[in-house]
Amino acid sequence: MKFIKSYMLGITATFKRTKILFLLYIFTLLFALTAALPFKSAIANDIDSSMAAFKLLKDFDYPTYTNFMHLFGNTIKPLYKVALFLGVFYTIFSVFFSGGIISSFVNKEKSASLSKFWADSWTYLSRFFRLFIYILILQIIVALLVFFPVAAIISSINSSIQSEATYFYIAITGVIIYLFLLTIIILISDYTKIMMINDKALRPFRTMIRSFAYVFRHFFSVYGMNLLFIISGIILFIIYFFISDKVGMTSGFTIFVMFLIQQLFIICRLFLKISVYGGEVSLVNKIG
Amino acid sequence: MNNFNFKKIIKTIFLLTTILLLPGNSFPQIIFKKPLSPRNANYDINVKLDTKTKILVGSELLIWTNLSKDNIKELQFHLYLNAFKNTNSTFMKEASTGVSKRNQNISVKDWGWIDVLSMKTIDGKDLTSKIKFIRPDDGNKDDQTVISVKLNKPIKPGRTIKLKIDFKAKLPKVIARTGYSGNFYLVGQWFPKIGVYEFPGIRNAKKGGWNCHQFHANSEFYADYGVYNVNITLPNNYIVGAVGLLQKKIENKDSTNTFTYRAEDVIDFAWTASPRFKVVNDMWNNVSIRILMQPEHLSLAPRVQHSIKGALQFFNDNLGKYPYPNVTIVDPPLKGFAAGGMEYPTFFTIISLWHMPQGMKFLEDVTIHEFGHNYFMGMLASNEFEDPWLDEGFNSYFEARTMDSLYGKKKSFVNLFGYHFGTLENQRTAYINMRNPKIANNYRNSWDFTNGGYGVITYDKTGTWMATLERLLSRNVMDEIMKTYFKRWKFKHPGAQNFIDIVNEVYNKRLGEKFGKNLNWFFDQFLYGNVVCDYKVANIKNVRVRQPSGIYDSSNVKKLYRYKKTKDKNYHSSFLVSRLGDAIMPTEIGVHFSDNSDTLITWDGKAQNKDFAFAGKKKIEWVKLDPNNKNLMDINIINNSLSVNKKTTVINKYTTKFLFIVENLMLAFSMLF
Repeated sequence: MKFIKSYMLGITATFKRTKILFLLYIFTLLFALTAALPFKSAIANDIDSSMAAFKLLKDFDYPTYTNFMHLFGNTIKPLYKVALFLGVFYTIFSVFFSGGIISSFVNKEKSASLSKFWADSWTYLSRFFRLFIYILILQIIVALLVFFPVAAIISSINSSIQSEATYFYIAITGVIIYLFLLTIIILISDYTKIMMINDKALRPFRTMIRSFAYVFRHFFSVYGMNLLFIISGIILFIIYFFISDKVGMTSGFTIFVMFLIQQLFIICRLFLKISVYGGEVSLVNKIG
Repeated sequence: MNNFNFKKIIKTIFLLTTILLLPGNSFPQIIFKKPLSPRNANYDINVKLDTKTKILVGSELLIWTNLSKDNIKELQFHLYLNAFKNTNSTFMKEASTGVSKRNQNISVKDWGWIDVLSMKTIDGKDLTSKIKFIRPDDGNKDDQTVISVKLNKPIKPGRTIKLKIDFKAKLPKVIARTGYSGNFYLVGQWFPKIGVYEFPGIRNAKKGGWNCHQFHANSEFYADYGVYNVNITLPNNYIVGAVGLLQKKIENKDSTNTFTYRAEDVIDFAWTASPRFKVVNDMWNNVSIRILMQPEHLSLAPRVQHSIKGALQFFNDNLGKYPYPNVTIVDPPLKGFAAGGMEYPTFFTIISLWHMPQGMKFLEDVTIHEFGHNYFMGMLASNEFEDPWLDEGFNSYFEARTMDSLYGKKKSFVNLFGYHFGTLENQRTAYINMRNPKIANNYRNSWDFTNGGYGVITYDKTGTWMATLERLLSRNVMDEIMKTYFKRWKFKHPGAQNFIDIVNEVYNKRLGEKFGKNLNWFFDQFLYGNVVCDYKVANIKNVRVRQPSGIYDSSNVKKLYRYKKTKDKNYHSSFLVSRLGDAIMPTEIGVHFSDNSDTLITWDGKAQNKDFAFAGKKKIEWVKLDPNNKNLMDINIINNSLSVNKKTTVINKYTTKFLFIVENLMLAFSMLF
């Protein structure tokens, strides 16, 4: 099947783009460090030379953890907001880099050139940013389109509902429908970007409409490959949780080992992210 | 024996047997051969529930005995359901104005009320016109939760009065643990209930008087013991559960059933009904267990069975025998959630949710907690209005002990995805993490927590200082205290001083004067006072002792000491402990030295700052206050220890985790576009 071949091609092509991969990783790490380093400084200052924290080394200790958060939470909680802000900022950053990544696949470069990558990223930034806004609005609209009917159903039968199981089934149905629609929107976003680069299109909205039609016209292939990538991501998570459970973080050495494993996991996630674009470009080339 | 007498005997036996076998005419089954309690407030009640209007129509025969030495000229009754009559009842005012943080924002969706239609003595004297509403606590004219009835002639000491009371009550939509939700009913606090006439010997009463408080948003109840014979009539599709034992069920011609319940030596009577209940029956020793589950929660019944059996065993082993022959557990539906977690003798409600994960032991916890109220309040009938800590706090202490014993100290409350904590840990953290642990002391009326803190202070702080007392005295001594308290005060009305007297008695007997002449200092601080405990290891110093060098005057001669290099290193090591809080607790201090040796110091904890010094070849490496985790009242765990070496392992662990979370969060966001 074409989508399986494209999936494989996406992965193999990503191996040839290690420079882009590591560039993205370095940026991801640097972004995260802007929150993690103040976090380290804050907890180091708060714990000082207390031995209470050692209870948190071998296992989780609820009284110590909650007491620490109660006493020093004010120095740490703002960093959670920083992390959220970084998430938003990083999203715009990834919109920027997606132009460079997709171009390298569309132009069938055998190995990625970083200067070309930067140039392409800049080239498509304006159009991709407008697309980002459209997709954001679309996601909100779809969320509301799912939320209101679900709320209406619950409201209309609320008086006759006797069990929380009914609420659960209605809510979970809504969530599944929303997640399904969300994956389609993400696919529309991806294929719009590919079409804009392929066709040198200047109007993201029109291209988005075309992409919408494209995704539904080739739904089996497009969604089939998407599912393969989702499954790959899930497998990656399972492997990570299995390893982290085995290694633990109970000594300086195991903490260092887990740090390396976690960073490898992040690299793998970035690898998959690039592979998705690679696979999609390949699929467009195969099925037109 | 002559022929005539023989015939008469045969006839009598035949007649009695016939009467006993006739439906509706059988005598109630006696539960206890010998009364366990004074039984001075006894009720025979007939009640009919109209499931369409949610109205109860009832008549009760109250048989009340004056146990005091006073001539009683007035009776006082609770009409609890009137708390839900309007927005100006004391209950609703306290709830809406935030006086009660516990029931803050509670709202009545369907009002409830109770009217006394008539009140007559058994010889027909009508007292109805003498009924008047009184407001002993706050003078709120709109509150109708207490009535007073002047009697025509006083009740003499030891004499009994029989009153026939007709009443009509409307159940509210379930609120504060009573009412209806759809076809589920929890009928609690539903009938005119006489208050407690206290006299010297009961709690801290100096003279005789009624203790009959209004219904407050924070408060629960207080009542005398008695025997209840209750006939409940309702549509025949309903499954019923109630306090006490089911005596019989009669199927009436009008598609209703009448259930007859009898309860002995109990302080209250409540019942439940729903056509949806799934009944699970079980046994523990000679106690029959009846669980009325919602059908969607039926898969959780084994968890309830396990925890109720564990609780029965634990309380029997560590406090005293559960004397009743049965226990009924009620699982309210989701929309009847407000009826959950309420206790009555031999009967209580739990809170469960469809497919609640095994790692969340809230179901087990509420089962054990509410069962525990059979002891703390059920058999030890303290005044829940005035001493809420004495039932809720003591019960929380036993709840934590039972939970931790059954499910593990570190995992008994929550154990999900590596995040876990025990029940005592949960109680302790609730207290030590309070924004203002000085907001109120334990010893106050339940409605006097006007600035908040009722829940944490009453339940969690009491549970925590009881656990601290246990650690101070040892488990054996604490068990002896609790068993003595139960043995001496069961089926009576204990007060704070009754408990403290037992603590001091057992303490002196077992530990002499180890922590002072008595333990009043402990209760003065943590029960009557609102002091806060916070000890800190302020610093550690290891100063190398230098050999004397330089010029010293010795016998009018200047003597020069030269510095000699030596391999021996001697240190003057010390550490400073500071008492930051105003509480004083005897404290152990663990000290670890550079040669891997340890020492345990016992300190009385009184000084504001205290230096401990050591001299020798070893240096202090770390100091831990309370290394055996005995003092759970310390509100800052982090400053209780200090190490000379700043170790970064834990900091690195959590920084690594945080970095990883942020990276994943960023990638998750970016995946959406």
